[in-house]
This record gives sequence, C-alpha cells and structure tokens, in this order.
Amino acid sequence: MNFDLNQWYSEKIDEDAIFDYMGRIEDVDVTDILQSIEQILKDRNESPKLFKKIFNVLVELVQNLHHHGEVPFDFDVSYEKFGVLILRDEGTQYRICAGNFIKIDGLRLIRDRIDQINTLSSTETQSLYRIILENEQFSEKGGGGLGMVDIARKSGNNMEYQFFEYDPNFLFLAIDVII
Amino acid sequence: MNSLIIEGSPKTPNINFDGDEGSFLISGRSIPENSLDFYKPIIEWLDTYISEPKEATIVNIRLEYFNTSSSKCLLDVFKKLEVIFKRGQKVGINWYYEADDEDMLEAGEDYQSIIKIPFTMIEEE
Repeated sequence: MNFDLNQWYSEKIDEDAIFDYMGRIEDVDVTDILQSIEQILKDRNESPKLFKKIFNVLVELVQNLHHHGEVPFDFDVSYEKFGVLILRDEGTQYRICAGNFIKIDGLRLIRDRIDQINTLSSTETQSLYRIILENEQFSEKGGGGLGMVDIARKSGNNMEYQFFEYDPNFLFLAIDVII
Repeated sequence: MNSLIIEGSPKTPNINFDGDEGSFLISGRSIPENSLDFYKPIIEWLDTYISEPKEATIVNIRLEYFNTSSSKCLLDVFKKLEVIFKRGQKVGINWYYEADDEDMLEAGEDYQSIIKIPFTMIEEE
C-alpha cells in the first residue's frame, strides 16, 4: 500500500505538537516558519541555551527542505518546493520532525550520509565538520553535507529517519532530531 | 578607501567594514537561503581592500546565529584577510560569543583551527 501523507501527518499532530506546517517551502515560507517557531519558544520562556540549539537545528532542517524538498508529479500545485515540519515538546526533550519527498535514486546517498554521521562520536563529528568546511565546495543548493553534520553536532543525538514508498518515482523521507 | 555598509535583516547580518580605519564588523544573524549571493559583494570589496590594506586590520564577529551555508562564506572572508596577514600585515579577529553559548565558541574554534590569523575569543554576558 502506498504511503498516505495526510494520515502520517495527522498521526504526528497530537497534544505534544507545538508547531506544525505542511506545504510550500519557498524563501518567504522559510522566513515565516522560523519567525513563528521563534515566537512560540519565546512565549514559552525557553532557556537561551536550548532556544539557540533548537533554532540552529531548525534553520538547517527548514533550509534543507527548501533546497531538496521535491514535489511529486501527482501534486496539483504550482510551486516546486514542498515539505513538512513539526516541533514537539515531549516533556524531557524537544523533537523536530522534518519530512520531504526525494527522487528514488537519491535514497542511497542520503541514507549512507545519515548512517555515517550517526556512527560518529562528538569529537569525530567535529573533525568531519572541519574537514568539510575547509575542503568541500559549496553550491547554491547546499554545503556539501555540512548541514547534516551540523545538526548532529548541535543536537548531540543521532538522527532518526524513515523512508516511505510514495510512487514509482518518489520516496517520502522523515527525519527526527531530538534536542 | 570607501566603507562597506550593509544593513541587517532578520536573515542577514549587519556589515560595517571601515576601509579607512581597517575596522570590520559582522553582527546579527546570517541565515539566508543562499549565502553566496549575500557575501559576493563583501568578497569583492575585500579583494580591493587587500590590494592596499591598512597597517592593522581588526575584525569583530558578533553573530547570534549563522547557518552552514554562511559558514563557508565566513571562511572565505577570513581567507581573504589571511592573504594580507601572511604578507606581514597586522590582522586580528575578535570572536564574540554569549556566556554559555558553547556552540558559538566552538564555531569560532573551528575557524581558529583552519585560519592562521590570531583569534581572540571574547565571552559576553
């Protein structure tokens, strides 16, 4: 059975969800999402240290959606960037869930990258960050994988991920980051 | 030499590069989707500055947040200034971070490990 995005999304939106968004991820939407979450965290008087960590990880995840969030062929929309973002307060931790469609041939690259980062110690993550920063060429679409390394480094936790088959061309990738 | 002044926005930093004083400031947030576009005129301005730099150049970095897309551009800024440092000119980078913002301190240390210019880490309350 094919993946049902609306069902998956509705199951994620329970009483722990303090922000949720599903839709277009153009420049203006990135700005709106970040401003909304910033206000939510300010209203909750979250500690500056945790606030900064969450915000830093959010920036990378939302911009990742902006650069890589594909729109499947059967979506009847005029925009070209699509993504999902949910922020949950689970009591002892925050969980940020970012989801986007990817072309099936991109699966291995992303999966291998996350798996590699998840095996690293904090010192190794720092070393990898410095190696990429110093040596990789960045493009308009991203920073040579630096975003994922930065997320792991700032959160201090492994990224959890799931791939769902959507159609013959696209997978839905959901990444959870716990802070 | 002319100064380079760019007013900050919710996603881009304030830039105040005083070419006559050799005093440069980058402050605020640097989280644009495409940092290459934002930093291009800054790098071009630096190309002119390093052809005739002041005897001493001091760079103050007071960033609240920066994304990984900006991180490479910041490195490019420092690499431009490293050219004149290697020529024997005096260059220093003051890296400001808020007390208990270990991530920002570590970010400064990342650059310190790559760039030969002396860094001063300055904790602020």
